[in-house]
Amino acid sequence: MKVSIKKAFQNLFKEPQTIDYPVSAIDKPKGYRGIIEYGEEECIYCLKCEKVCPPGAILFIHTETPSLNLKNKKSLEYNYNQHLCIYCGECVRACPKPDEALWQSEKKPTIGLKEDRVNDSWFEIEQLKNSK
Amino acid sequence: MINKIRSTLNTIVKDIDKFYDEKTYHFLTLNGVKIDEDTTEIQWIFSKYNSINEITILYCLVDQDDMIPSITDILPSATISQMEIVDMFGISVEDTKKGLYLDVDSQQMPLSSCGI
Amino acid sequence: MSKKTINIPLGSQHISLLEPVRFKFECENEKIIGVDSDVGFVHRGIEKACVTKFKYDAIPYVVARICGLCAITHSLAYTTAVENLLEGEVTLKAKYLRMLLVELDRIHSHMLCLSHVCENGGFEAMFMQIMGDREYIMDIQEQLTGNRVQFDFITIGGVNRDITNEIANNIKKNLNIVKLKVFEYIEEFSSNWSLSLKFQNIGKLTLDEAYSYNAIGPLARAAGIFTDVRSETNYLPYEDIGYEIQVGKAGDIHARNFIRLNEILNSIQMCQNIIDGLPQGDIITKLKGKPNGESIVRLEAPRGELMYYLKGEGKSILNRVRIKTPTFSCIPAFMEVFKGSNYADAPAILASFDPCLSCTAK
Repeated sequence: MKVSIKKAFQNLFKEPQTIDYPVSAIDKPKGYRGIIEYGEEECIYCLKCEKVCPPGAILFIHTETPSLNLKNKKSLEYNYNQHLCIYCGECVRACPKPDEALWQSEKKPTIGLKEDRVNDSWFEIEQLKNSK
Repeated sequence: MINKIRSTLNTIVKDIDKFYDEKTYHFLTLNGVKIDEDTTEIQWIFSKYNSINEITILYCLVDQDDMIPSITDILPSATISQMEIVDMFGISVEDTKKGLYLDVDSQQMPLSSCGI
Repeated sequence: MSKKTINIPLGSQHISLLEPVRFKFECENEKIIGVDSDVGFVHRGIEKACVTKFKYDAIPYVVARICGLCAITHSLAYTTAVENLLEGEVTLKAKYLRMLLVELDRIHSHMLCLSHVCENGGFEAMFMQIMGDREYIMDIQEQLTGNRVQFDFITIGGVNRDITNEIANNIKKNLNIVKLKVFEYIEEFSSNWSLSLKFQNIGKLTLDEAYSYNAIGPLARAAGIFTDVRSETNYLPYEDIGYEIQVGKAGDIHARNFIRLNEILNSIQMCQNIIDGLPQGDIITKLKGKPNGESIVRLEAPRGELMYYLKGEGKSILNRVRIKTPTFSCIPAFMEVFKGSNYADAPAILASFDPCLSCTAK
């Protein structure tokens, strides 16, 4: 009982444990899980990242204006949804060239605003994929 | 080590009574696996205290219209597992009411049409 | 002349409940004589989703999101069950790293339960203090895996990230700080009359009732049964790192608090032994084939025993996934303990059972 009375008295003079974010900064540890970034020139279009992603956040669909990469034989284009992604990193581990074509950065994802039409544009891409 | 023992719907209560002893075996749960259109396999899973990796399963095959007998006289903790079988598979169990997870206006018997 | 009884709900919205569960008590003059329960408020259909929509190598991420406090145990139990049906073997270093994270998860889950018990007893200062000390454990979890709550750390064949020397030193430093704090809590819990000594002889589960209702986890160990899944399975090498079973005798709320405090101390010692004796090797191996056959795996989550049953037929979508969570099998035991106690003790008894309803209604 005496220990708790002493501690209660000491706690009167301590400062609170809450951090005043965003006024004061927090220190992020190394290895923060950020958004996935894509290097188009090195990609070989094997489509392994699309098969392995658990929520289906990477989709390759047919496009009329393909890139000049010689390996892009079926005229596909890479699409990534940073709001469906769970930042697990399975796509980076499945890629045959993990630091040149696909890698995980340390940037935070952006906020989804209504004007950007985040959901509707992704549903249109999914319909193009399913109708093929 | 999984040990599977086959039984029938009429003799399952007597088999569990002969097999189960309170201080030697621990009852885990009931389970159902859909084999084909009409048949479901219902399993009663037990494990043994103080031994490594020893699991015994008593199972029987039932049709969609059969009534499974209730074992709550021997195992009072089986009430909630029986309510789950009624909700998920649509097979009736003696003395058990419906409505553990699913409401009246949701999709009924969800697991009775998968894995075929 | 028959006595009149009234029905009082401990509803799904209550000021002391952390979880969405509803009990209807039939009371006669403050003593409870009948109980009716409803647990299906957060049913999401996960067993059906695992056999129709997701392939077998995406399911560790789906199953981890059943519960926030025992996320790593669900993921590990599924992964061990699938590895039994494929060809290949996991390295010893990966098994040691998996055990490290399971024990860290157990420490922070028990601290959350103890702080909730203190809050229900009226001692809010202790609730705040235990939650503040829990931040040391959340920091080292974030350095090791990248996330504080949903560590996506386990895949089929091993683990995702390796441990460096700097992280190992930070883990040892923080665990030493937490160990001193736990000794202070043991001192408080055993001598302060406004905290735990007033809970003696309340919410009692005797040894015979525990055997007949198949109780598991800290509930059964506080009543006197020598049962723990860590000593009844051999997928993970627990006997090499100093695991000891903690058993009580009285079966009331005071005994359950002490079982949890002693388990925290044992887990801290085991984590320090793992870091000192970590072997060398790879962290991931490639396993071949598709799952074919039946397999059953049991693991010790912080609340009890967790079981997975899998059936596969050689394709990439499984045939049946059955999940049995610890709170699900403890519900008949809850309903038995409530009978015979006062209505005013019901929130304290419920908090000492440590229910996790998102595991129950999957």
